[in-house]
Amino acid sequence: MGVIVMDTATDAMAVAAGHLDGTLLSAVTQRVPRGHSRLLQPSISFVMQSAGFHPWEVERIGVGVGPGSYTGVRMAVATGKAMAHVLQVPLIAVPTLDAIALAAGLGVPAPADGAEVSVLVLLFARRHRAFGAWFTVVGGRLASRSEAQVQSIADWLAQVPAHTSVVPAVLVHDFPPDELALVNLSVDLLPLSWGDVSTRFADALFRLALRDEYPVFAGERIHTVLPDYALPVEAEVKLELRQKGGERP
Amino acid sequence: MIILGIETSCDETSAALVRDGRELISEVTATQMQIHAAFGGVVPEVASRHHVEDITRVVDETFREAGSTWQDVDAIAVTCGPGLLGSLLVGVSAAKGYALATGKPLIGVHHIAGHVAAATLNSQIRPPFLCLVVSGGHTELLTVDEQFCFTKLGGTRDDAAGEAYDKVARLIGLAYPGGPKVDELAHDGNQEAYAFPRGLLDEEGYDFSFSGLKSAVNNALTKQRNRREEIDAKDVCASFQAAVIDVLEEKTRRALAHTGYQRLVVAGGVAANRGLRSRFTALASATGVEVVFPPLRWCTDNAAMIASAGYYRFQQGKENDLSLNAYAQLSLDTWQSWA
Ligand SMILES: [Zn+2]
Repeated sequence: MGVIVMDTATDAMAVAAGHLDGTLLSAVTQRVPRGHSRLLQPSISFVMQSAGFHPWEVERIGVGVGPGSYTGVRMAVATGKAMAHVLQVPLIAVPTLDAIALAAGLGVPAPADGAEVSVLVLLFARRHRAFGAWFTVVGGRLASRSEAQVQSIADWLAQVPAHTSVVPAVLVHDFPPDELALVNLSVDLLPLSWGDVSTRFADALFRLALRDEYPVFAGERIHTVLPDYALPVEAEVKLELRQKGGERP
Repeated sequence: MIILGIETSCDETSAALVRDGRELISEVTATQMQIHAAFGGVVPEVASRHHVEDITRVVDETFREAGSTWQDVDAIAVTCGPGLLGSLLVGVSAAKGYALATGKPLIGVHHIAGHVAAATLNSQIRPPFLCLVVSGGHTELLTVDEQFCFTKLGGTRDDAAGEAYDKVARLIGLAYPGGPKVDELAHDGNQEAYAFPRGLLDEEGYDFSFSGLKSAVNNALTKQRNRREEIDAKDVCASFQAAVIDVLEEKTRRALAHTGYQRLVVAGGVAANRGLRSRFTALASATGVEVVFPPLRWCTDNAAMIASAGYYRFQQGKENDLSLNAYAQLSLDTWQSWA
């Protein structure tokens, strides 16, 4: 009757184990640079042992599918696919942005009137761009308010007034310090670094894996689970442009 | 004993079941050759994306082809280096997921140990033997003892032999992957048309160097192009190939004489090369040494060779825990020293 979850899409790695009824028993978050490949499976093993169940007692696996760093996101996806297929249990594909938004929302005191908290999640995507989405969190419940996409950080910030009924809204970001210095943060935005928020990452991921809002992959369909990369491979973009150019008369 | 092998170090997603290190039960490989041909070479990020797309399906099909289940498997062997890091990590992550879920032992395998073990697949050959590994990433002379432990005699100081083939193919304008095409063209060319250098041939020891040869080919072609002379690709390929094989053959001959081994294995992707095979076959009959080439299908990257090498490793009492990592660079010595 166990559930395990894992995410390696960002520099914070989260794994957790608990019961299908929503009881979280054991959770680990690690922020060791380049440590995910070494730490992921031992951490999963640890939370399962702590929670007191064997691999064959796992009934559901949740995996964060990104977006995130190219190489990182694949570790949890490859591990989750392998485990779910061999154990013959469903694999739930949880968008990493959702788990980040909920992790932020869980840590912000709810407004006294029970109003929603707006959360903007932005993951740095180089060249002053960020992959992200808008969410609202009310009483521990997460709702998506926009499609996930990549755009310039300036364009993201320009959306702040339209998305906030309550101020300040929360911004969770993983911007490097020099990039953050360039960002013109408005007073309506409470910036939280992903490093601080990630302590609640495993908890959030676990909660979301138990919701029925995400795609469930079982049997042969487990093979089709893919990471969400947010950005295309540059070589592919160039090749496509070349091929299009070549077709012109 | 049945080992599941997994190999994702470059652009092939491969899984295989092998009994006792020698007998192939089943093997499934998803190749990305066509995909990377469009780019003119392997694009690491593209390769990694395809690996994670294919990995569990390839493993699943390997079991289905064999009519086997996980219960039949005694251990899981996976390539942990050297290779493209992002690609290796997909295989290693999946292998660790399988090991965690099933409780089966996990064995990290050095890619070169796999190429050497390929010679023992569906074959009667057993160590000890001398081994020349020639591939896109490696050129090494090794001795292999009864326990399948390696001692490196020498290796390339710069480019691998296969790398030199690919670079020369590009200089002539052959499409990727050009190495096999160079071999093909060389067959009908004049190998004395160009006097290309034989790197480190006069030096003692068993090291190789192919970057000077590649530059010499480049210089010769540039000179001819500047003079608007017509270039016969066949002659370039034949002369280049002769220079490569001369060095490989001579260093191997010396190593055989020095070590006294009566058996030689030539392994790796370049071991599929026709010119190289015929020269080493001649060397064998001249010296009375037995020469063994892995079957063509196991010269290129594959999981059967990883399962085979994993078996020998497991016989040595070696296995890895779930903290096994992937390594873009990994020397045979380092790998062998793991407890
Ligand atoms: Zn290889």
